[in-house]
Amino acid sequence: MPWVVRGQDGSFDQVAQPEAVQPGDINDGVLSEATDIVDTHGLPKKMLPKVSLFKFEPPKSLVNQALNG
Amino acid sequence: MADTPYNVDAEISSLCSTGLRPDILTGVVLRILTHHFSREKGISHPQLKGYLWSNNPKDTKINIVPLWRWDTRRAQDRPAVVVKRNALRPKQLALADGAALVHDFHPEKIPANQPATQQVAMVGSHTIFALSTIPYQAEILGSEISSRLIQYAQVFQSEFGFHRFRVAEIGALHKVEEASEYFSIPITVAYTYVDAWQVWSTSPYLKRLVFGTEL
Repeated sequence: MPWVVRGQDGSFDQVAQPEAVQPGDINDGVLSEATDIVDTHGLPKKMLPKVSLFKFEPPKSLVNQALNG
Repeated sequence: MADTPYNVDAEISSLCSTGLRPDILTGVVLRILTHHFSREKGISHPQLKGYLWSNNPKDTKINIVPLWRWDTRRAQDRPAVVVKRNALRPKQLALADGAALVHDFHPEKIPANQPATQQVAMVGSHTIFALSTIPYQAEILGSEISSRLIQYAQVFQSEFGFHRFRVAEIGALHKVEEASEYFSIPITVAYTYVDAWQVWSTSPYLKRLVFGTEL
């Protein structure tokens, strides 16, 4: 779990990452392997849904749920 | 000196005079993101450490821009964070448009000619697109941004004057319609804030009455 510290200069995001977890550890390894499959084979890419940055609009109910929940 | 939990010497925020307007809201989101990617120390994922943001488009390792400034021709396959404002909806407050909710509301202290403060709640959202030409990089970029927004939601809420600020959704991996070589994780943040104002009249009502007759 990262340690979150509020900076004296008003900065928000000083994070001390525990040294024990390094790239290549089990989580990163598993994710990288999955990524390689997506990168090397065309089929998964074609199966991904598309999003339009300009047309994207979240449902009104989603916004209300996040604020009222 | 050790870090203190509160910044007691904070300068007065420009938000005191501008308030939260649609363009300012986009600026707030951009400010949060550019600040996060300005220093390697603040980036938590090891594989994103080198992607530092710079104000100079030629030097920056990651583009962080509002939607209308994202130019895929100049992106040079760099990862990008694109910020889009979604619909902003006014919501009427109960009890005399929320007049009773004003913190310094003391009816007996208001002079006869001073109008009461009017308020309206604004409900809206921004979507932050974590973009990369490598699907895995889009995924970790989305994770980096979303976890930081969730962790600091309370801080952003108080610092920028939101009534509430929450991450509403961390979307799945998508291909981008406008730039087919890019993959995207859409992250939607929802917020609400109260806009308050007073309307003062510079002259009395019915200062001039015009009478006419028709013959």
